[in-house]
Amino acid sequence: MDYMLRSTTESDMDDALIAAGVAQEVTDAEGEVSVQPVAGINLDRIGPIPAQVDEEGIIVRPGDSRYHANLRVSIELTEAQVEALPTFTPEPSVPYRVFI
Amino acid sequence: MHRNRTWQIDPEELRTQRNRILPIEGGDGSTLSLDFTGGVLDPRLTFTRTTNATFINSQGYVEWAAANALSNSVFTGASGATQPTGWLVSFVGGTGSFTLNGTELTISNNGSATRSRIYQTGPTGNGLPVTVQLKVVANNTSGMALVELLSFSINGQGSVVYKVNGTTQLSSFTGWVAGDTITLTCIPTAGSAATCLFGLGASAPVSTSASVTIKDVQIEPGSVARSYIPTTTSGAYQAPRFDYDPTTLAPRGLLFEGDATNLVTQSNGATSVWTIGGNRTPTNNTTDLLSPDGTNNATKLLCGTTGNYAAHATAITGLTGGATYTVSYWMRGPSGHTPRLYAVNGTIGDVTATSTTGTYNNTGWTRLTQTYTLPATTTQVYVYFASIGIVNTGDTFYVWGFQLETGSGASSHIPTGASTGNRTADSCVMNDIAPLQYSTTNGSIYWSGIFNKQPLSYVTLIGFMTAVDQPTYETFGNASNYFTAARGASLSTGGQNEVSRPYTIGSLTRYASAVDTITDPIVRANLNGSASSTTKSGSGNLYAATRFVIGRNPSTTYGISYPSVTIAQIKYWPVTKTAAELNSLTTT
Repeated sequence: MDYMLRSTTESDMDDALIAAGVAQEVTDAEGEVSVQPVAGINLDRIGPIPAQVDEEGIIVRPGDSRYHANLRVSIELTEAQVEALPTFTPEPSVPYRVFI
Repeated sequence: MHRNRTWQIDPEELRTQRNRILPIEGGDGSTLSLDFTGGVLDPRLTFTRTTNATFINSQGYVEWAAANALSNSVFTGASGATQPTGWLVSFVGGTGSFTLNGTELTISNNGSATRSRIYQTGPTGNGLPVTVQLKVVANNTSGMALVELLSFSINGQGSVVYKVNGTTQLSSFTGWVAGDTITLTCIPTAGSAATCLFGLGASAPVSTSASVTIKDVQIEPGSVARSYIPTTTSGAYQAPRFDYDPTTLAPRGLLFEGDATNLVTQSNGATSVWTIGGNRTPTNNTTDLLSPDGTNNATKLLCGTTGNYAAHATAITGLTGGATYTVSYWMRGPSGHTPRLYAVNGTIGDVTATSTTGTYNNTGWTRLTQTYTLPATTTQVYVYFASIGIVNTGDTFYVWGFQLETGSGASSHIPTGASTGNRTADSCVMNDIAPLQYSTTNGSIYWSGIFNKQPLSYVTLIGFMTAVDQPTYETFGNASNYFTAARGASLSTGGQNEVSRPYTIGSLTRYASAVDTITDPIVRANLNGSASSTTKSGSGNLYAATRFVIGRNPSTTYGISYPSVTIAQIKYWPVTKTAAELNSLTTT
């Protein structure tokens, strides 16, 4: 199951993913802390969606400065977990990015 | 003859190594010997990847990895009114019921029903074709006016090709008989999730019972139905990829990559977004020749006025200034031209490539790659086919498979349509390592293969892990060097000892390493005959391992990191090889 997610900032996205139980804070061998998906979850961090422009630099499709991510879930999520995800409606008619 | 002779096949090193008796797998004393060039994944390995991906097949074509995007294709859990686990139902005008016989599912209409169907949400449309297949076991639909045995519920679907046993039929065809294989290829509407329904659909209520029995249901990318792959309730299946040299067609082994995103939309150069350029007339989906994937979906560029340059480009925005990116695409045409990346903002102008691979010609396809470091303030570029010299009227170029991705080196092609596309990482683990006789004091690892792309951070390629994903004895790399580490609670600084060897992208690498943490403490490595070693400042055991991994397991406490490499062979010995032995392994 795939979910398109959106939040105001990256930090908000991380908080929501952790609250939903699909990501956790991890510390790597160099001591760097990052938020990584748990087993069975693939997280594609998109971030802000850039505007698309033509040859003249004219915007043909506006961007979105909010933080975006795609989630591919290979495990069973509870209803509460799904509700905790920062999904949004309506979803775009043409997504900026998809899993192939 | 020799009836009384006692054969001794274990080598000297095993007989003298702390008096252990070890199983021999590879005939060379190794307790693990994997050869991926035969195109088979050892059944002891569990492979996962959650998206599809492409590779070069044995004919030299770019091909989607085998896949079945449906979960539970064997219909586990179906009984009575309960549908198979993970499937949804669409009952209209009555009730339906299910009977499961092995992996064959009978779907029945129970009076006054028009539809009794099961479905799953399929892939999200991206302008690329997908193909569905199923096999008919029994067809008892004589009481129904119009029966849909298989359908896509996608608004605006286009280019539907419906076949029975390989023969194209009208979508209204209802004459299936037992044994028929039905396939349907369509291009799901961009942005819409394809809902693929199987079962009974009628134009009017059915007053008497009707049923159909089906099996072997599958959804996969591309326009061709391939061998059926059964899936369980654990989800869709994406097959490992065994890659071939596109020129010599020699097998290269297991293609193993980290996640990557193609930032180019319409990767085959469709004029809907490849609007920039001049002095060329583009024709999408040309039938002049087969594309690198064996179909007719390349773009033909017919050049115009003699004495001018020709170009075909698309604008990419939202890049990171100062970051490294790699452009790749396949080309065929008059020689003398190269790809081009043009900075549209920041420091405007052509960006100079830091590395280039591929020399194309006019007789076959060649994948060209160029790596660039963007100017610090540049976030927007044009990705180009551009003639560097002037062209002659009528010069014809063919282009296919444009890709712009982060980092140095091109990963496997990620086809895109209206959206950019993300491919997730490959992961491989061996959970039962008892037969490997893992040693907490001694060990040697050998692998051969080709680095395809520089990792952005430290990545585990091959190694042993603890239950909490702590590497114990591992080989790993960063952007320029390849390392061996022995990790244990009482080993020296940082609990590890590392040796490193520089590697190069795109050429055959043979790497061998050895560790001894007690008797003669040392970590040594050899890459293509170039050796290094580190003498350990302390001694102690390696962490106890529970798994052997290629790449790191995503259930990690240490972050997710994956190499981008094609692996031919892997070996492990629970003994410490000498420097001379490592040199021999990497030079012969």
